[in-house]
Amino acid sequence: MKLFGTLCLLLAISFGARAEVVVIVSINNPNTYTGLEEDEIKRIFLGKSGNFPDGSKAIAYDLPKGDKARMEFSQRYLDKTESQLNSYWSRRVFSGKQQPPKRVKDSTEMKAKVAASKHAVGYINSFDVDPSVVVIHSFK
Amino acid sequence: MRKLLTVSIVTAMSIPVSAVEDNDFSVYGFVNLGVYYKDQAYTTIETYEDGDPTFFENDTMLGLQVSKPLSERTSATVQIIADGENDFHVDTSLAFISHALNENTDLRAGRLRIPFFYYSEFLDVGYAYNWVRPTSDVYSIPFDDYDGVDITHRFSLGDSDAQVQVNSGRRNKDIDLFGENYESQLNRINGISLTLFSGDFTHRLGYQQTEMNLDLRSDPAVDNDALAAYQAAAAQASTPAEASALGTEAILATYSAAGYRRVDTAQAMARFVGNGNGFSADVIDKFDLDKKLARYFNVASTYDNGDFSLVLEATHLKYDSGLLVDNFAWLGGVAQRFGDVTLHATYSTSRDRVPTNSKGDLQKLLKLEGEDKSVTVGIRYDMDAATALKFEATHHDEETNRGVAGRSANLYRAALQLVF
Repeated sequence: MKLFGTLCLLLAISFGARAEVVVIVSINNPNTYTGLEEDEIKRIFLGKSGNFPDGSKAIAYDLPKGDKARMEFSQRYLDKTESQLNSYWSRRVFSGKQQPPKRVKDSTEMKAKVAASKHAVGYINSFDVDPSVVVIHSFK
Repeated sequence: MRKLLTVSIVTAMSIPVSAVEDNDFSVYGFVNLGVYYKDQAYTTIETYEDGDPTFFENDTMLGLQVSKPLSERTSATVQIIADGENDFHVDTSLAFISHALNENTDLRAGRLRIPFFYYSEFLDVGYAYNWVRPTSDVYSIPFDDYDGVDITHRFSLGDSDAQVQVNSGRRNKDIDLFGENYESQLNRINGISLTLFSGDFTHRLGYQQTEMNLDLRSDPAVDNDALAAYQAAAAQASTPAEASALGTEAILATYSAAGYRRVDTAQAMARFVGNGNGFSADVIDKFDLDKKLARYFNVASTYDNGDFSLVLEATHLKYDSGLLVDNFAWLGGVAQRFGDVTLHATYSTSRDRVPTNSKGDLQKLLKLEGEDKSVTVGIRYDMDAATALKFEATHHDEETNRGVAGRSANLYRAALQLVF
Protein backbone atom coordinates (compact mmCIF):
# COMPACT_ATOMS: atom_id res chain seq x y z
CA MET A 1 0.00 0.00 0.00
CA LYS A 2 2.84 2.29 0.85
CA LEU A 3 4.54 1.26 -2.36
CA PHE A 4 1.35 2.07 -4.26
CA GLY A 5 1.26 5.50 -2.63
CA THR A 6 4.85 6.19 -3.61
CA LEU A 7 4.13 5.04 -7.13
CA CYS A 8 1.17 7.41 -7.37
CA LEU A 9 3.27 10.26 -6.09
CA LEU A 10 6.03 9.48 -8.56
CA LEU A 11 3.52 9.35 -11.37
CA ALA A 12 2.00 12.63 -10.23
CA ILE A 13 5.42 14.25 -10.20
CA SER A 14 6.37 12.94 -13.60
CA PHE A 15 3.04 14.11 -15.05
CA GLY A 16 3.32 17.47 -13.36
CA ALA A 17 6.81 17.89 -14.69
CA ARG A 18 5.97 16.77 -18.21
CA ALA A 19 7.01 19.30 -20.80
CA GLU A 20 4.03 21.01 -22.29
CA VAL A 21 3.79 23.33 -25.24
CA VAL A 22 2.45 26.81 -24.44
CA VAL A 23 1.49 29.73 -26.64
CA ILE A 24 3.41 32.96 -26.04
CA VAL A 25 3.08 36.63 -26.97
CA SER A 26 5.01 39.80 -26.21
CA ILE A 27 4.55 41.47 -22.81
CA ASN A 28 3.28 44.48 -24.78
CA ASN A 29 0.49 42.55 -26.47
CA PRO A 30 -2.84 44.03 -25.27
CA ASN A 31 -4.59 40.69 -25.75
CA THR A 32 -2.90 39.34 -22.63
CA TYR A 33 -5.80 40.90 -20.67
CA THR A 34 -8.45 38.90 -22.45
CA GLY A 35 -6.47 35.83 -23.42
CA LEU A 36 -6.62 33.84 -26.63
CA GLU A 37 -9.03 30.98 -27.30
CA GLU A 38 -7.79 27.68 -28.66
CA ASP A 39 -9.81 28.20 -31.84
CA GLU A 40 -8.33 31.67 -32.38
CA ILE A 41 -4.83 30.22 -32.07
CA LYS A 42 -5.74 27.52 -34.56
CA ARG A 43 -7.08 30.05 -37.07
CA ILE A 44 -3.99 32.26 -36.78
CA PHE A 45 -1.53 29.37 -37.17
CA LEU A 46 -3.45 27.86 -40.10
CA GLY A 47 -3.48 31.21 -41.88
CA LYS A 48 -7.27 31.58 -41.68
CA SER A 49 -7.03 34.72 -39.60
CA GLY A 50 -4.40 37.42 -39.55
CA ASN A 51 -5.64 39.20 -36.45
CA PHE A 52 -5.79 38.95 -32.69
CA PRO A 53 -9.27 39.19 -31.07
CA ASP A 54 -8.75 42.95 -30.56
CA GLY A 55 -8.30 43.38 -34.31
CA SER A 56 -4.57 44.05 -34.27
CA LYS A 57 -2.36 42.23 -36.74
CA ALA A 58 -1.06 38.80 -35.70
CA ILE A 59 2.18 37.35 -37.06
CA ALA A 60 2.75 33.69 -36.23
CA TYR A 61 6.15 32.08 -35.75
CA ASP A 62 6.89 28.41 -36.20
CA LEU A 63 9.64 26.08 -34.97
CA PRO A 64 11.50 23.92 -37.53
CA LYS A 65 10.00 20.76 -39.04
CA GLY A 66 10.61 17.75 -36.82
CA ASP A 67 10.99 19.80 -33.60
CA LYS A 68 9.31 18.02 -30.65
CA ALA A 69 7.46 21.15 -29.51
CA ARG A 70 6.20 21.70 -33.07
CA MET A 71 4.89 18.14 -33.19
CA GLU A 72 3.03 18.63 -29.91
CA PHE A 73 1.72 22.05 -30.89
CA SER A 74 0.46 20.68 -34.18
CA GLN A 75 -1.36 17.80 -32.46
CA ARG A 76 -2.83 19.72 -29.53
CA TYR A 77 -3.68 23.08 -31.06
CA LEU A 78 -4.05 22.40 -34.78
CA ASP A 79 -5.49 18.89 -34.58
CA LYS A 80 -3.05 17.63 -37.21
CA THR A 81 -0.04 15.34 -37.35
CA GLU A 82 3.06 17.17 -38.48
CA SER A 83 2.80 15.46 -41.87
CA GLN A 84 -0.78 16.68 -42.24
CA LEU A 85 0.30 20.17 -41.26
CA ASN A 86 3.10 20.16 -43.85
CA SER A 87 0.71 18.84 -46.46
CA TYR A 88 -1.81 21.55 -45.54
CA TRP A 89 0.79 24.28 -46.01
CA SER A 90 2.32 22.82 -49.14
CA ARG A 91 -1.07 23.15 -50.86
CA ARG A 92 -1.28 26.81 -49.95
CA VAL A 93 2.36 27.70 -50.51
CA PHE A 94 2.88 26.06 -53.88
CA SER A 95 -0.41 27.36 -55.27
CA GLY A 96 1.19 30.74 -54.59
CA LYS A 97 -1.66 31.89 -52.38
CA GLN A 98 -0.31 32.00 -48.86
CA GLN A 99 2.83 31.92 -46.82
CA PRO A 100 3.14 29.68 -43.78
CA PRO A 101 4.10 31.12 -40.37
CA LYS A 102 7.61 32.50 -40.30
CA ARG A 103 10.22 29.95 -39.35
CA VAL A 104 12.61 30.44 -36.41
CA LYS A 105 15.49 28.09 -35.70
CA ASP A 106 14.88 27.30 -32.02
CA SER A 107 13.07 28.37 -28.83
CA THR A 108 15.65 31.08 -28.09
CA GLU A 109 15.01 32.76 -31.42
CA MET A 110 11.28 32.18 -30.94
CA LYS A 111 11.33 34.10 -27.64
CA ALA A 112 13.44 36.88 -29.14
CA LYS A 113 11.03 37.31 -32.09
CA VAL A 114 7.95 37.21 -29.89
CA ALA A 115 9.40 39.56 -27.27
CA ALA A 116 10.34 42.08 -29.95
CA SER A 117 6.87 42.68 -31.42
CA LYS A 118 3.39 43.02 -30.00
CA HIS A 119 2.13 41.50 -33.27
CA ALA A 120 4.04 38.26 -32.77
CA VAL A 121 2.65 34.98 -31.48
CA GLY A 122 4.58 31.75 -31.04
CA TYR A 123 4.81 28.60 -28.98
CA ILE A 124 7.52 26.96 -26.91
CA ASN A 125 8.05 24.23 -24.40
CA SER A 126 6.81 25.41 -20.98
CA PHE A 127 10.31 24.75 -19.55
CA ASP A 128 11.70 27.45 -21.84
CA VAL A 129 9.34 30.20 -20.68
CA ASP A 130 11.09 33.22 -19.16
CA PRO A 131 9.98 36.77 -18.21
CA SER A 132 10.71 38.15 -21.71
CA VAL A 133 7.42 36.67 -22.96
CA VAL A 134 3.88 36.04 -21.66
CA VAL A 135 2.08 32.72 -21.81
CA ILE A 136 -1.29 33.53 -23.35
CA HIS A 137 -2.59 29.98 -23.54
CA SER A 138 -1.70 26.64 -22.02
CA PHE A 139 -3.55 23.42 -21.32
CA LYS A 140 -2.50 23.38 -17.65
CA MET B 1 7.98 72.18 -34.04
CA ARG B 2 10.69 71.29 -36.45
CA LYS B 3 11.98 68.63 -34.12
CA LEU B 4 8.49 67.22 -33.70
CA LEU B 5 8.15 67.07 -37.47
CA THR B 6 11.44 65.21 -37.76
CA VAL B 7 10.30 62.75 -35.12
CA SER B 8 7.03 62.10 -36.91
CA ILE B 9 8.78 61.63 -40.24
CA VAL B 10 11.16 59.16 -38.66
CA THR B 11 8.22 57.37 -37.06
CA ALA B 12 6.29 57.33 -40.30
CA MET B 13 9.27 55.92 -42.14
CA SER B 14 9.90 53.26 -39.58
CA ILE B 15 6.34 51.91 -39.69
CA PRO B 16 6.53 50.08 -43.01
CA VAL B 17 9.86 48.57 -42.06
CA SER B 18 8.57 47.12 -38.81
CA ALA B 19 5.31 46.02 -40.40
CA VAL B 20 7.12 43.93 -43.00
CA GLU B 21 9.04 42.33 -40.12
CA ASP B 22 11.30 39.77 -41.77
CA ASN B 23 11.88 41.29 -45.13
CA ASP B 24 13.80 38.39 -46.60
CA PHE B 25 13.42 35.79 -49.28
CA SER B 26 11.34 32.74 -48.48
CA VAL B 27 12.48 29.62 -50.28
CA TYR B 28 10.32 26.51 -50.59
CA GLY B 29 10.76 23.42 -52.67
CA PHE B 30 9.41 20.02 -53.51
CA VAL B 31 10.88 16.85 -54.96
CA ASN B 32 9.12 13.90 -56.60
CA LEU B 33 11.13 10.83 -57.57
CA GLY B 34 9.15 8.22 -59.46
CA VAL B 35 9.58 4.68 -60.74
CA TYR B 36 6.98 2.84 -62.81
CA TYR B 37 6.25 -0.34 -64.66
CA LYS B 38 3.43 -0.75 -67.17
CA ASP B 39 2.61 -4.30 -68.20
CA GLN B 40 0.84 -3.89 -71.57
CA ALA B 41 1.72 -2.05 -74.74
CA TYR B 42 -1.68 -1.58 -76.37
CA THR B 43 -3.27 0.65 -73.78
CA THR B 44 -2.43 4.31 -73.41
CA ILE B 45 -1.99 5.69 -69.89
CA GLU B 46 -0.64 9.21 -70.27
CA THR B 47 2.96 8.84 -71.47
CA TYR B 48 3.82 5.73 -69.46
CA GLU B 49 5.58 3.14 -71.63
CA ASP B 50 5.54 -0.62 -71.31
CA GLY B 51 8.70 -2.68 -71.00
CA ASP B 52 11.32 -2.53 -68.28
CA PRO B 53 10.72 -0.48 -65.15
CA THR B 54 11.51 3.16 -65.82
CA PHE B 55 13.30 5.30 -63.27
CA PHE B 56 13.07 9.05 -62.75
CA GLU B 57 11.19 10.09 -65.88
CA ASN B 58 7.45 10.19 -65.22
CA ASP B 59 6.39 11.46 -61.78
CA THR B 60 9.85 12.93 -61.34
CA MET B 61 10.15 16.61 -60.71
CA LEU B 62 12.09 19.18 -58.76
CA GLY B 63 10.39 22.44 -57.87
CA LEU B 64 11.78 25.56 -56.29
CA GLN B 65 9.77 28.57 -55.20
CA VAL B 66 11.08 31.90 -54.03
CA SER B 67 8.97 34.70 -52.59
CA LYS B 68 10.10 38.17 -51.63
CA PRO B 69 8.01 40.84 -49.92
CA LEU B 70 8.30 44.11 -51.85
CA SER B 71 6.22 46.16 -49.45
CA GLU B 72 3.76 45.47 -46.68
CA ARG B 73 1.07 44.56 -49.22
CA THR B 74 3.03 43.41 -52.23
CA SER B 75 5.23 40.42 -52.90
CA ALA B 76 6.86 38.66 -55.83
CA THR B 77 6.91 34.90 -56.34
CA VAL B 78 8.70 32.68 -58.85
CA GLN B 79 8.33 28.92 -59.09
CA ILE B 80 10.50 26.87 -61.42
CA ILE B 81 10.15 23.18 -62.16
CA ALA B 82 12.61 20.71 -63.67
CA ASP B 83 10.58 17.82 -65.07
CA GLY B 84 12.14 14.38 -65.54
CA GLU B 85 9.73 13.68 -68.37
CA ASN B 86 11.12 16.72 -70.15
CA ASP B 87 14.81 15.87 -69.65
CA PHE B 88 14.82 18.11 -66.54
CA HIS B 89 14.50 21.25 -68.60
CA VAL B 90 13.56 24.09 -66.31
CA ASP B 91 10.14 25.63 -66.86
CA THR B 92 8.68 28.64 -65.10
CA SER B 93 5.38 27.46 -63.65
CA LEU B 94 4.62 30.57 -61.58
CA ALA B 95 5.96 34.12 -61.86
CA PHE B 96 3.71 36.77 -60.40
CA ILE B 97 3.35 39.86 -58.30
CA SER B 98 0.75 39.59 -55.57
CA HIS B 99 -0.88 42.64 -54.08
CA ALA B 100 -3.28 42.67 -51.13
CA LEU B 101 -6.13 45.01 -52.15
CA ASN B 102 -7.40 44.65 -48.60
CA GLU B 103 -7.08 42.18 -45.79
CA ASN B 104 -9.23 39.60 -47.55
CA THR B 105 -8.60 40.27 -51.22
CA ASP B 106 -5.46 39.50 -53.20
CA LEU B 107 -4.69 40.47 -56.77
CA ARG B 108 -2.07 38.49 -58.66
CA ALA B 109 -0.60 39.30 -62.06
CA GLY B 110 1.86 37.31 -64.15
CA ARG B 111 2.20 33.63 -64.94
CA LEU B 112 -0.38 31.63 -63.00
CA ARG B 113 -2.02 28.22 -63.07
CA ILE B 114 -5.48 27.72 -64.48
CA PRO B 115 -7.62 26.49 -61.55
CA PHE B 116 -9.44 23.83 -63.58
CA PHE B 117 -9.65 21.20 -60.87
CA TYR B 118 -9.58 20.78 -57.11
CA TYR B 119 -5.88 19.84 -57.12
CA SER B 120 -4.85 22.00 -60.12
CA GLU B 121 -2.95 24.74 -58.37
CA PHE B 122 -0.66 22.32 -56.52
CA LEU B 123 -0.86 19.41 -58.98
CA ASP B 124 2.91 18.92 -59.16
CA VAL B 125 3.37 18.75 -55.40
CA GLY B 126 2.89 15.03 -54.80
CA TYR B 127 3.48 15.44 -51.08
CA ALA B 128 0.26 17.44 -50.80
CA TYR B 129 -2.04 14.47 -51.51
CA ASN B 130 -2.15 10.67 -51.15
CA TRP B 131 -1.84 9.58 -54.79
CA VAL B 132 1.42 9.61 -56.73
CA ARG B 133 -0.56 11.92 -59.03
CA PRO B 134 -4.30 12.47 -59.56
CA THR B 135 -5.76 10.17 -62.22
CA SER B 136 -5.53 11.31 -65.84
CA ASP B 137 -9.10 10.08 -66.40
CA VAL B 138 -10.18 13.35 -64.78
CA TYR B 139 -6.98 15.42 -64.81
CA SER B 140 -6.76 15.23 -68.58
CA ILE B 141 -6.32 18.80 -69.81
CA PRO B 142 -2.95 19.05 -71.59
CA PHE B 143 -2.06 22.58 -70.45
CA ASP B 144 -2.14 24.23 -67.06
CA ASP B 145 -0.54 27.66 -67.06
CA TYR B 146 -1.55 31.05 -68.41
CA ASP B 147 -0.40 34.65 -68.31
CA GLY B 148 -2.90 37.00 -66.77
CA VAL B 149 -4.46 38.13 -63.54
CA ASP B 150 -6.60 36.67 -60.82
CA ILE B 151 -8.38 38.03 -57.79
CA THR B 152 -9.01 35.91 -54.72
CA HIS B 153 -11.47 37.12 -52.11
CA ARG B 154 -11.91 35.32 -48.79
CA PHE B 155 -15.05 35.73 -46.71
CA SER B 156 -17.10 34.09 -43.97
CA LEU B 157 -20.36 32.35 -44.63
CA GLY B 158 -22.00 31.54 -41.32
CA ASP B 159 -19.52 29.29 -39.52
CA SER B 160 -17.67 28.48 -42.73
CA ASP B 161 -14.80 30.12 -44.59
CA ALA B 162 -15.29 30.70 -48.26
CA GLN B 163 -13.22 31.91 -51.16
CA VAL B 164 -14.03 33.17 -54.62
CA GLN B 165 -11.37 33.37 -57.31
CA VAL B 166 -11.79 35.07 -60.68
CA ASN B 167 -9.13 34.69 -63.36
CA SER B 168 -8.48 36.08 -66.82
CA GLY B 169 -5.63 35.82 -69.28
CA ARG B 170 -4.16 34.05 -72.27
CA ARG B 171 -1.62 31.40 -73.14
CA ASN B 172 0.73 31.57 -76.11
CA LYS B 173 2.76 28.39 -75.86
CA ASP B 174 3.03 24.97 -77.47
CA ILE B 175 0.69 22.18 -76.37
CA ASP B 176 1.64 18.52 -76.22
CA LEU B 177 -1.15 16.21 -77.42
CA PHE B 178 -0.70 12.42 -77.66
CA GLY B 179 3.06 12.96 -77.38
CA GLU B 180 3.17 15.43 -80.29
CA ASN B 181 3.80 19.13 -80.22
CA TYR B 182 1.41 21.81 -81.53
CA GLU B 183 1.87 25.55 -81.74
CA SER B 184 -1.12 27.05 -80.02
CA GLN B 185 -2.74 30.19 -78.75
CA LEU B 186 -5.40 30.11 -76.07
CA ASN B 187 -7.14 33.45 -75.91
CA ARG B 188 -9.67 34.80 -73.45
CA ILE B 189 -9.03 32.29 -70.71
CA ASN B 190 -11.70 33.36 -68.22
CA GLY B 191 -12.99 31.58 -65.19
CA ILE B 192 -14.37 31.63 -61.71
CA SER B 193 -14.12 29.19 -58.82
CA LEU B 194 -15.86 29.10 -55.47
CA THR B 195 -14.57 27.14 -52.52
CA LEU B 196 -16.36 26.56 -49.23
CA PHE B 197 -14.47 25.26 -46.20
CA SER B 198 -17.01 23.93 -43.72
CA GLY B 199 -15.60 21.95 -40.79
CA ASP B 200 -14.17 18.73 -42.21
CA PHE B 201 -15.80 19.37 -45.59
CA THR B 202 -14.49 21.36 -48.54
CA HIS B 203 -16.69 22.01 -51.56
CA ARG B 204 -15.59 23.55 -54.82
CA LEU B 205 -17.35 24.76 -57.96
CA GLY B 206 -15.32 25.86 -60.96
CA TYR B 207 -15.84 27.14 -64.47
CA GLN B 208 -13.26 28.02 -67.13
CA GLN B 209 -13.49 28.85 -70.78
CA THR B 210 -11.02 29.65 -73.51
CA GLU B 211 -10.89 30.27 -77.23
CA MET B 212 -8.58 27.62 -78.66
CA ASN B 213 -6.28 28.07 -81.62
CA LEU B 214 -4.05 25.21 -82.70
CA ASP B 215 -1.74 25.60 -85.65
CA LEU B 216 -2.76 22.52 -87.67
CA ARG B 217 -1.09 21.35 -90.82
CA SER B 218 -3.22 21.33 -93.93
CA ASP B 219 -1.88 20.84 -97.48
CA PRO B 220 -4.09 20.38 -100.59
CA ALA B 221 -1.28 18.49 -102.37
CA VAL B 222 -1.21 15.87 -99.60
CA ASP B 223 -5.04 15.72 -99.71
CA ASN B 224 -4.81 14.92 -103.44
CA ASP B 225 -2.21 12.22 -102.79
CA ALA B 226 -4.48 10.76 -100.11
CA LEU B 227 -7.44 10.71 -102.47
CA ALA B 228 -5.37 8.98 -105.15
CA ALA B 229 -4.11 6.44 -102.59
CA TYR B 230 -7.71 5.80 -101.50
CA GLN B 231 -8.89 5.20 -105.05
CA ALA B 232 -5.95 2.92 -105.85
CA ALA B 233 -6.52 0.86 -102.69
CA ALA B 234 -10.29 0.69 -103.13
CA ALA B 235 -9.87 -0.56 -106.70
CA GLN B 236 -8.10 -3.67 -105.31
CA ALA B 237 -11.05 -4.55 -103.06
CA SER B 238 -13.82 -7.03 -103.89
CA THR B 239 -16.51 -5.71 -101.52
CA PRO B 240 -17.52 -2.13 -100.55
CA ALA B 241 -16.62 -2.83 -96.92
CA GLU B 242 -13.17 -3.98 -97.92
CA ALA B 243 -12.79 -0.98 -100.19
CA SER B 244 -13.58 1.36 -97.32
CA ALA B 245 -11.16 -0.41 -94.94
CA LEU B 246 -8.28 -0.58 -97.43
CA GLY B 247 -8.98 2.96 -98.61
CA THR B 248 -8.92 4.38 -95.07
CA GLU B 249 -5.67 2.57 -94.36
CA ALA B 250 -4.14 4.05 -97.53
CA ILE B 251 -5.25 7.58 -96.57
CA LEU B 252 -3.84 7.30 -93.07
CA ALA B 253 -0.57 5.95 -94.44
CA THR B 254 -0.34 8.91 -96.85
CA TYR B 255 -0.89 11.51 -94.09
CA SER B 256 1.50 9.73 -91.78
CA ALA B 257 4.17 9.64 -94.49
CA ALA B 258 3.65 13.37 -95.04
CA GLY B 259 4.40 13.96 -91.34
CA TYR B 260 0.84 14.77 -90.24
CA ARG B 261 0.31 14.58 -86.52
CA ARG B 262 -2.77 12.96 -84.98
CA VAL B 263 -4.87 16.13 -84.89
CA ASP B 264 -3.70 17.25 -88.39
CA THR B 265 -4.85 13.87 -89.68
CA ALA B 266 -8.17 14.09 -87.84
CA GLN B 267 -8.82 17.47 -89.44
CA ALA B 268 -7.97 16.16 -92.92
CA MET B 269 -10.05 13.02 -92.37
CA ALA B 270 -13.02 15.11 -91.24
CA ARG B 271 -13.04 16.88 -94.60
CA PHE B 272 -12.54 13.65 -96.48
CA VAL B 273 -15.13 11.59 -94.61
CA GLY B 274 -17.50 14.57 -94.27
CA ASN B 275 -17.52 15.31 -97.98
CA GLY B 276 -17.77 11.61 -98.86
CA ASN B 277 -20.85 11.20 -96.65
CA GLY B 278 -22.71 14.34 -97.70
CA PHE B 279 -22.14 16.45 -94.55
CA SER B 280 -22.71 20.16 -95.05
CA ALA B 281 -19.79 22.59 -95.19
CA ASP B 282 -21.06 24.14 -91.92
CA VAL B 283 -20.54 20.86 -90.09
CA ILE B 284 -17.19 20.08 -91.70
CA ASP B 285 -15.92 23.58 -90.85
CA LYS B 286 -16.40 22.83 -87.16
CA PHE B 287 -13.63 20.24 -87.41
CA ASP B 288 -10.75 22.62 -86.97
CA LEU B 289 -9.15 24.47 -84.08
CA ASP B 290 -9.40 28.04 -85.23
CA LYS B 291 -11.03 30.26 -82.60
CA LYS B 292 -13.02 27.40 -81.11
CA LEU B 293 -14.51 27.86 -77.67
CA ALA B 294 -13.84 25.25 -75.00
CA ARG B 295 -15.70 25.19 -71.68
CA TYR B 296 -14.79 23.37 -68.47
CA PHE B 297 -17.12 22.70 -65.56
CA ASN B 298 -15.87 21.24 -62.30
CA VAL B 299 -17.47 20.25 -59.02
CA ALA B 300 -15.66 18.65 -56.10
CA SER B 301 -16.35 17.73 -52.49
CA THR B 302 -13.92 16.42 -49.95
CA TYR B 303 -14.27 15.24 -46.38
CA ASP B 304 -11.26 14.84 -44.12
CA ASN B 305 -11.46 14.24 -40.37
CA GLY B 306 -7.72 13.64 -40.08
CA ASP B 307 -7.97 9.83 -40.15
CA PHE B 308 -10.57 9.14 -42.78
CA SER B 309 -10.95 11.10 -45.98
CA LEU B 310 -13.18 11.05 -49.00
CA VAL B 311 -12.91 12.89 -52.29
CA LEU B 312 -15.46 13.18 -55.09
CA GLU B 313 -14.76 15.20 -58.19
CA ALA B 314 -16.61 15.49 -61.47
CA THR B 315 -15.78 17.45 -64.56
CA HIS B 316 -17.48 18.19 -67.85
CA LEU B 317 -15.63 19.45 -70.92
CA LYS B 318 -17.56 20.98 -73.77
CA TYR B 319 -15.96 21.87 -77.11
CA ASP B 320 -17.20 23.84 -80.09
CA SER B 321 -14.61 22.14 -82.25
CA GLY B 322 -15.56 18.76 -83.69
CA LEU B 323 -11.96 17.56 -83.31
CA LEU B 324 -12.36 17.36 -79.56
CA VAL B 325 -15.20 15.29 -78.14
CA ASP B 326 -17.32 16.51 -75.21
CA ASN B 327 -16.38 14.59 -72.11
CA PHE B 328 -17.74 13.74 -68.69
CA ALA B 329 -15.34 12.36 -66.08
CA TRP B 330 -15.40 11.75 -62.37
CA LEU B 331 -13.43 10.17 -59.57
CA GLY B 332 -14.31 8.89 -56.13
CA GLY B 333 -11.67 8.04 -53.58
CA VAL B 334 -11.40 7.01 -49.94
CA ALA B 335 -8.40 6.95 -47.64
CA GLN B 336 -7.84 5.70 -44.12
CA ARG B 337 -4.85 6.67 -42.01
CA PHE B 338 -3.22 4.29 -39.52
CA GLY B 339 -0.54 6.39 -37.84
CA ASP B 340 2.18 7.01 -40.44
CA VAL B 341 0.54 4.76 -42.99
CA THR B 342 -2.39 5.75 -45.20
CA LEU B 343 -4.25 3.29 -47.41
CA HIS B 344 -6.33 4.61 -50.28
CA ALA B 345 -8.53 3.42 -53.14
CA THR B 346 -9.98 5.38 -56.06
CA TYR B 347 -12.35 4.69 -58.91
CA SER B 348 -12.28 7.00 -61.90
CA THR B 349 -13.88 7.09 -65.30
CA SER B 350 -13.82 9.25 -68.40
CA ARG B 351 -16.66 9.13 -70.95
CA ASP B 352 -16.63 10.96 -74.25
CA ARG B 353 -20.12 12.18 -75.10
CA VAL B 354 -20.84 12.46 -78.80
CA PRO B 355 -23.74 14.91 -79.29
CA THR B 356 -26.85 13.76 -81.14
CA ASN B 357 -26.47 16.08 -84.11
CA SER B 358 -24.61 16.01 -87.40
CA LYS B 359 -21.38 17.11 -85.71
CA GLY B 360 -21.70 14.05 -83.46
CA ASP B 361 -22.52 11.82 -86.42
CA LEU B 362 -19.30 12.86 -88.13
CA GLN B 363 -17.35 12.39 -84.87
CA LYS B 364 -18.68 8.84 -84.74
CA LEU B 365 -17.66 8.15 -88.33
CA LEU B 366 -14.18 9.47 -87.53
CA LYS B 367 -14.00 7.19 -84.48
CA LEU B 368 -12.90 9.97 -82.18
CA GLU B 369 -14.55 8.88 -78.97
CA GLY B 370 -13.00 7.04 -76.07
CA GLU B 371 -14.17 5.62 -72.76
CA ASP B 372 -11.86 4.75 -69.90
CA LYS B 373 -12.15 3.57 -66.34
CA SER B 374 -9.51 2.92 -63.70
CA VAL B 375 -9.19 1.49 -60.24
CA THR B 376 -6.24 2.67 -58.17
CA VAL B 377 -5.11 1.35 -54.81
CA GLY B 378 -2.12 2.65 -52.94
CA ILE B 379 -0.26 3.20 -49.75
CA ARG B 380 1.38 6.33 -48.43
CA TYR B 381 4.00 6.06 -45.73
CA ASP B 382 5.04 9.27 -44.00
CA MET B 383 8.72 8.60 -43.39
CA ASP B 384 9.25 11.84 -41.52
CA ALA B 385 7.51 15.17 -41.09
CA ALA B 386 7.98 16.18 -44.73
CA THR B 387 8.78 13.03 -46.73
CA ALA B 388 6.33 10.48 -48.07
CA LEU B 389 6.98 7.14 -49.72
CA LYS B 390 4.17 5.87 -51.95
CA PHE B 391 3.31 2.66 -53.72
CA GLU B 392 0.41 2.53 -56.11
CA ALA B 393 -1.20 0.10 -58.54
CA THR B 394 -3.68 1.18 -61.22
CA HIS B 395 -5.80 -1.07 -63.38
CA HIS B 396 -6.72 0.99 -66.40
CA ASP B 397 -9.44 -0.28 -68.71
CA GLU B 398 -9.74 1.33 -72.12
CA GLU B 399 -13.33 0.31 -72.83
CA THR B 400 -13.44 2.27 -76.07
CA ASN B 401 -10.42 3.65 -77.85
CA ARG B 402 -10.88 5.68 -81.04
CA GLY B 403 -14.40 4.35 -81.44
CA VAL B 404 -13.56 0.65 -81.09
CA ALA B 405 -13.19 -1.74 -78.13
CA GLY B 406 -9.89 -1.22 -76.32
CA ARG B 407 -7.81 -3.22 -73.87
CA SER B 408 -6.59 -2.90 -70.33
CA ALA B 409 -3.23 -2.51 -68.61
CA ASN B 410 -1.78 -2.31 -65.14
CA LEU B 411 0.49 0.47 -64.03
CA TYR B 412 2.64 0.09 -60.92
CA ARG B 413 4.28 3.14 -59.42
CA ALA B 414 6.57 3.95 -56.52
CA ALA B 415 7.46 7.48 -55.55
CA LEU B 416 9.40 9.40 -52.96
CA GLN B 417 7.90 12.83 -52.48
CA LEU B 418 8.99 15.58 -50.15
CA VAL B 419 8.67 19.28 -49.45
CA PHE B 420 11.19 21.62 -47.91
